[in-house]
Amino acid sequence: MAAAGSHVNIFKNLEDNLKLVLEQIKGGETGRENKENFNFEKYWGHMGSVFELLSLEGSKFSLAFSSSPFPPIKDCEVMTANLEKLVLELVRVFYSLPKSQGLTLRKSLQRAVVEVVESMLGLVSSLAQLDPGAGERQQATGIVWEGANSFVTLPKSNKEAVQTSVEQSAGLVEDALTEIDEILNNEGRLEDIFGEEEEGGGENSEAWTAQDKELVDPTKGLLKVAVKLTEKAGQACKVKATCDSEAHVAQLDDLSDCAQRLSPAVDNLTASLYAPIDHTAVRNSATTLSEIIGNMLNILRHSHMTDEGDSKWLDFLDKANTHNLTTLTDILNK
Amino acid sequence: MVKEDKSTWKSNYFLKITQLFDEFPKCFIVNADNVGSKQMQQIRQALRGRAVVLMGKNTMMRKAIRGHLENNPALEKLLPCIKNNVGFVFTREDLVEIRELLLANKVQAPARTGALAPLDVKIPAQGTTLGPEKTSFFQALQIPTKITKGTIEILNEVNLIKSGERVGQSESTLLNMLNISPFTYGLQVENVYDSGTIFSPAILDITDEDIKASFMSGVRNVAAICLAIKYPTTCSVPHSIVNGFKNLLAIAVTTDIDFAEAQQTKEYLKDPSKFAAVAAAAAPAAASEAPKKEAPKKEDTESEDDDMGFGLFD
Repeated sequence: MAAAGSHVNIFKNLEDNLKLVLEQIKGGETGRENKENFNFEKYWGHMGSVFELLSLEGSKFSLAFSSSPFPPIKDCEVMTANLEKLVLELVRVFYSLPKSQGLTLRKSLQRAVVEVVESMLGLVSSLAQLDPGAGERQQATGIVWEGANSFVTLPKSNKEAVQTSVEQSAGLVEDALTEIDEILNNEGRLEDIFGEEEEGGGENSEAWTAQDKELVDPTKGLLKVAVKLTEKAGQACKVKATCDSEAHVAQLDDLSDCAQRLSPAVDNLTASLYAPIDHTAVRNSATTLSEIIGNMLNILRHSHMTDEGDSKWLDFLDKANTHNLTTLTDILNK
Repeated sequence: MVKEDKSTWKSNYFLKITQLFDEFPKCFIVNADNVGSKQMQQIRQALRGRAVVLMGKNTMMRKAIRGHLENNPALEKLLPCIKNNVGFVFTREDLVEIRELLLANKVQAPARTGALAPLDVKIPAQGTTLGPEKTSFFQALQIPTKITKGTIEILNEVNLIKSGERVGQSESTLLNMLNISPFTYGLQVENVYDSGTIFSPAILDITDEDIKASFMSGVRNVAAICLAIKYPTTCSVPHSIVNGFKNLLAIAVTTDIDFAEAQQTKEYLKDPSKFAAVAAAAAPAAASEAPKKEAPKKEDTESEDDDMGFGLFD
């Protein structure tokens, strides 16, 4: 029993240390300085090895505590010390990525690092019970593996990170556009999503008024502009973006920030179309979305990702944005 | 039941969604493609008391989650998953059991034109009830047939549709004529969310054997490094011994030096027909005993593979 108590203590200490590491990763700051001799290949190679080793550490711990008798306390201390060293190495490597390489890249890496440490914490917590159901331990081990394997698909430059961010936003914006057609087919009725129709839950849905219906076309127009914009931004980023100067890296970060604000604005506007429509909410949501679209077009226009050949589609989307917002406002002002 | 004010009902919609995320620590993110409302009702009934299904408007769900991030920041990970025809199955119970319930609630469906085939569709050789006037359908799909007692008979098994392909009009019509509903549709688990972590459903199937295999890959790495830098450890010593024995054997077969363990190899080299006879006798015996000896055989193969790899460091 004393041995079991000691095992528990070792795991509790490890849990506490991993929690401290998480706080450090989430809240810490990296140096801004641009390391001229920063070697990307070496950096990612090293980071990849750390992720791979974490995956193997997960397997080692899981197997060691898959059945009793558990390893002697002395061995456990060595195992936890090795794991802690590895996690600290992960933190060190994470912080050695200079901010000048791009904030979007740093955020993406930070998410992956947090996830893999959280997954390790989950495994340690499940082992700390010393009598976990096999399923819980196996699941926790699998999550460690998945967290570590995520390194393979992780963006390795700010260009890749921004492209991923824009593509993710594009997927969600396109999804909202599909929903507009569904709303139109149902005349704005918000169907019951909890399957309570037979219990009276669906009675509350109502359809649009004639004026409400007029709002659909300009709203759909704004969403179409947003979809086209994310598509074009993704292409521009893929074909023309580079990370060879701090200015270019910063332009990419601006684009990503803007793209990330697009989906919430699109969702707010789309959700506001369900009956009963609050006209003020529609006006505010549409204005916000139009501002974000305008901002994103502006960022692209003044960035290294577009040139004179792109001004045609930039102008077109700019005009379409203004036109749809004006039409929508006119309807709301009637 | 008192009818709520409609605006209140709409705002409560968000509240209901976030309540589910607060109430339940885990959920499945499911795809509901090809699942009709009647089937959905059946699924809800089958899960009643064990899980709650939320099939909804994606924009509303994303908006509700974004509004709730202050209380539960981990929910942010769900946002990229909420697109296309998805929903949530919330539960507090064992995820594997609830997934089995979802799998049990699949229904057979005909192959509609344009649908993506989730599996290969084969038509076995069989007699049909179709008259000769339908022969053109079979000809269009190049299916060999003959007329037997006034009806069409399919002569050979036919691979009609491949998994992942779209169902063509001719294939769809033919399957309907033969009254075959080849596909089964139900809620497809795309991702699993458990206490702030998202992972693929395959993780629910991980066994201790998988964990052992992962551990062994680490052991092999250690052994390889130890052999390369000539630093013996528990992992590398068995391989060093085997490699040493191989060297002894190599010397023995090229010189007159003899020792008991090398005799058999020397005899085989002198008269290869002996080896052929032993190998031939062993093959059927091994085949018949294969199911029984599956586990040890696996170990043998593994150690042989290892030796081949580690021989590089000799």
